[in-house]
Amino acid sequence: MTAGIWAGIHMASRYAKRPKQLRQIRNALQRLETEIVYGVSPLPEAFARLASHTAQPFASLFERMSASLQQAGNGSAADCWDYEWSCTWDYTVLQSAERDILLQFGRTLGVSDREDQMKHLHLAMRQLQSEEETAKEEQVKYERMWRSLGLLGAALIVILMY
Amino acid sequence: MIGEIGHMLPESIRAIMGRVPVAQLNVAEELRIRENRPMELSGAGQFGFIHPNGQVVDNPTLAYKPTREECMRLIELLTNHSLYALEEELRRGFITVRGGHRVGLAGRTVLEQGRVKQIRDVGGVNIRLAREVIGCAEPLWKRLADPLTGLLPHMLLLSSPQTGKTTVIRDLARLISSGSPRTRTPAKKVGIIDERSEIAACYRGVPLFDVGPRTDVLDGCPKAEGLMMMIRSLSPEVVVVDEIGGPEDAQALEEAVRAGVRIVATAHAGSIEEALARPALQRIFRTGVFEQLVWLERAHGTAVFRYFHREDQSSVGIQAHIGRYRVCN
Repeated sequence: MTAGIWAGIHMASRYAKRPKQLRQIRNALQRLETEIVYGVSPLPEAFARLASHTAQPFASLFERMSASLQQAGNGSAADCWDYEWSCTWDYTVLQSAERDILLQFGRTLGVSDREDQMKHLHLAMRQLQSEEETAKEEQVKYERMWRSLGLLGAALIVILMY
Repeated sequence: MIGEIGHMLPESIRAIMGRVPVAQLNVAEELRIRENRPMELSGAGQFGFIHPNGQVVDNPTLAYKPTREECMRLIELLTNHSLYALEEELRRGFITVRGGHRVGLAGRTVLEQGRVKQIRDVGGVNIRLAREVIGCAEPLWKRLADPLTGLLPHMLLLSSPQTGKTTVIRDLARLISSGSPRTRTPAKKVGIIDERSEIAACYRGVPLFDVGPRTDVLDGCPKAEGLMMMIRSLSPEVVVVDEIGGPEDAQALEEAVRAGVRIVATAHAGSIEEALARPALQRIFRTGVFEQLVWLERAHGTAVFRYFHREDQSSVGIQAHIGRYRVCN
């Protein structure tokens, strides 16, 4: 019974977490925009500052990103971005749509002028926002469903067993 | 030497540079990396191409040719993954990296309203290795500085490119701001306007080279604007500027001279005659700001100075007249 309820809550929480994490990333990108476009801080510094203003698991992602950018022999910023995200996916509830947006954005990281950086940041933020809206709709639809499904499924199994 | 810029080179190039004999690296002044073309190392008046095994060879066909990926990676590393932070530098065609090394860029320029906005598609870079030679300006300082006051006449150091102007005035700034306890020459307050971050090689506003204990640096500041900023806020007794010749420099220098500071400046010229004929410098000479011209040459690795006084000054051992200046030694 407990296991069933727990499974239901777990599935439900995935739907609740996704819009939240999307919003966190969007806020982080917003901050990155400020650092790049107005602060003109170099990328390693910008990421270090980002880390102190973001919640986990993204804080440690940005921190590692900042460290690996400062290390020689770690490839381009896009490579670092790809690698660091690949280590972080399992700790997030993000889906492939967001993954594509973020990895696509990573390819432009730091390699063009401010205007261009701003355009790419805006594009990524807009795309993430539309994902966030879909995620919110899904949350409304499925969060309660999974929670009750967990309880009812567990109850069904208990009844069948007797 | 390469150790300092090593972390800015892509791995493959760094590995090759690691195999170059130390003796050759020690005299190296410029490393040129051009996309799909032979990598070149020059210094001490000679040049050679770098073989993949690290030998410096004369035959360019044997040399290592960096690929497009390597060049793109190089640019990323040189700009600290932040091209957007260097727009002004890209407009001027060079960036100064940590350690004061200047990296000149060649490629396609992007124009905006007829003026260069930035360099895109960088096809080649020239890394000029900055070197600190402590004591190289000593003969110049001993001759020109007044032992009682520690001050110099307003002077302009001229030489052809790549002779070591910046190295000399860096050391001169150090000497002026240190003074000399032996001759009881007092140390003076020195202000350096380091438009290209080459003199003091500032990193986050702090000079990496020894520029003396009483020296303040305005890093990355345009000369004309910096001169007055410096005088107003940092009260220097001697101001050091590199590579004058811009249209607004003449006026700013004239202004500064009358504000009670001594000027030490440098400019490019093929010869002293050419310097006097350079339109940009003529404007400055016409103002009569500089009391002393110094021509810098290099002979067998050491700096040789030739001095030119202004005509209205008494001097001994006149050799010849050039323009309104007299050659003395």
